[in-house]
Amino acid sequence: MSAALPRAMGRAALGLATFALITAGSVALTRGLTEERIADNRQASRHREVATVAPAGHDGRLLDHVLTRPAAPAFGFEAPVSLWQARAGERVLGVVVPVTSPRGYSGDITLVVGLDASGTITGVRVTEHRETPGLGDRIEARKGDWIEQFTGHSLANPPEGGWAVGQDGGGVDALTGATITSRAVVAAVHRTLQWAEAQPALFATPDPGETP
Amino acid sequence: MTTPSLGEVSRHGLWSNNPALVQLLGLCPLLAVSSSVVNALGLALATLLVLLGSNVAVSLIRHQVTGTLRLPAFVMIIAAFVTCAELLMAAYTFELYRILGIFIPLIVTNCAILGRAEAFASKQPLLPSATDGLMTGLGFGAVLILLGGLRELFGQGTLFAGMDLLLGPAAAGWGITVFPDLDFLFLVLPPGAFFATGLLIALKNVIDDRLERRRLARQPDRPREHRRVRVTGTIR
Repeated sequence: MSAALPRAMGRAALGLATFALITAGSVALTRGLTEERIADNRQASRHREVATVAPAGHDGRLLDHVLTRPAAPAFGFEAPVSLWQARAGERVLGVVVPVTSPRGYSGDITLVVGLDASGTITGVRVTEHRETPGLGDRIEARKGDWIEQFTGHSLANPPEGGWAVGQDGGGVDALTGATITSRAVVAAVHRTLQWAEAQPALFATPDPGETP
Repeated sequence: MTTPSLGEVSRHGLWSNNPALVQLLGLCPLLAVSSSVVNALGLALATLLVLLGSNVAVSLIRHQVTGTLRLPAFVMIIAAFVTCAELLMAAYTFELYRILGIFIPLIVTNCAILGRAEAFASKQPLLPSATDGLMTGLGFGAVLILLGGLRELFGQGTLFAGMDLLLGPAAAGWGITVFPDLDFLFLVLPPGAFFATGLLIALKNVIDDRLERRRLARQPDRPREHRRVRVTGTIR
């Protein structure tokens, strides 16, 4: 074997390494310049979602009061739940709970459910889903008002059995052509209510030392 | 390879060698994202920027990077541009970035971009390469936006809805509801995109045929050339 081949390989490796350095450097530079803004955007977007369902009158610092609860597989919460407390001063007005339903028509549906201190729903919003455009995506607030109907209800209102879509004998009208999607959302909201009821001190202000 | 004139380069990119209608490259993002004008415009702008940037960069290094090193180097350049475009979109048009999701990083796999880098920019000087990138990007973007408009109008009955996601709050009132209560699901879903693209290709072929016939009518002596039947025209 002549010496030409190793030399060519070395040159190619060196060339590619140079390229990798230049391109990775430019990506790193762009990342450095945009990182802060992207983090702000994520935070602001999350805050908007949480604020739309939180009880009115809070101090506007929703994302600062995070409360973490252990997983509760009995209620479908497979992982620990990090929820947000809506506070006004020391008083806890309510909570916003993130929920994931694995029973969507095409993949997970993630929701945020807002509850006030009496356990009444202050709002529900879908934050992520892959439901069928034109049918299941009407669970989004900007495509229909279906998701608004939960506001004002609680575990006892409607009474036992009411927390299901009409097809299953419940009191919630399913979206036309999207029964599975509707069922998944109703079930997720229902079990969030059941879970919240079983949580001790969900609306209690943690001791100052405990505040994250 | 001789350097074609800028006019010729532009005509190729926009019409006769249009990446979406003739070369049929980059169909995956084209079909998946063209469900509304705002989505289409967002992806069109990102693709245009990447295409322009990669063509310029590839043209600049065309004498230094040759042989086996060429393709991996091009891929790295394109990937870097796409990642930068993704970061910039996340920073300045966050809501649209969330909607377009996976399709921004997937611009890397849009073969139209590597295709132009390899077939054109690696052999041509800076100005024609930049023009080629710009015009190919515009050609791709025009089809994307046209398709987005068609599918939004006849699928959901609206036009320019949600433009504020891309252009800021000033564009919030641009949405027009043309057909209220229209829900033509077929066009909203990917199969509708296939049909609409097919119709656009057919329309382009009809226009090309008309132009060709008119040209032949003006020169009656020349015998008509034999042409092989192609679905999408000639790839140059």
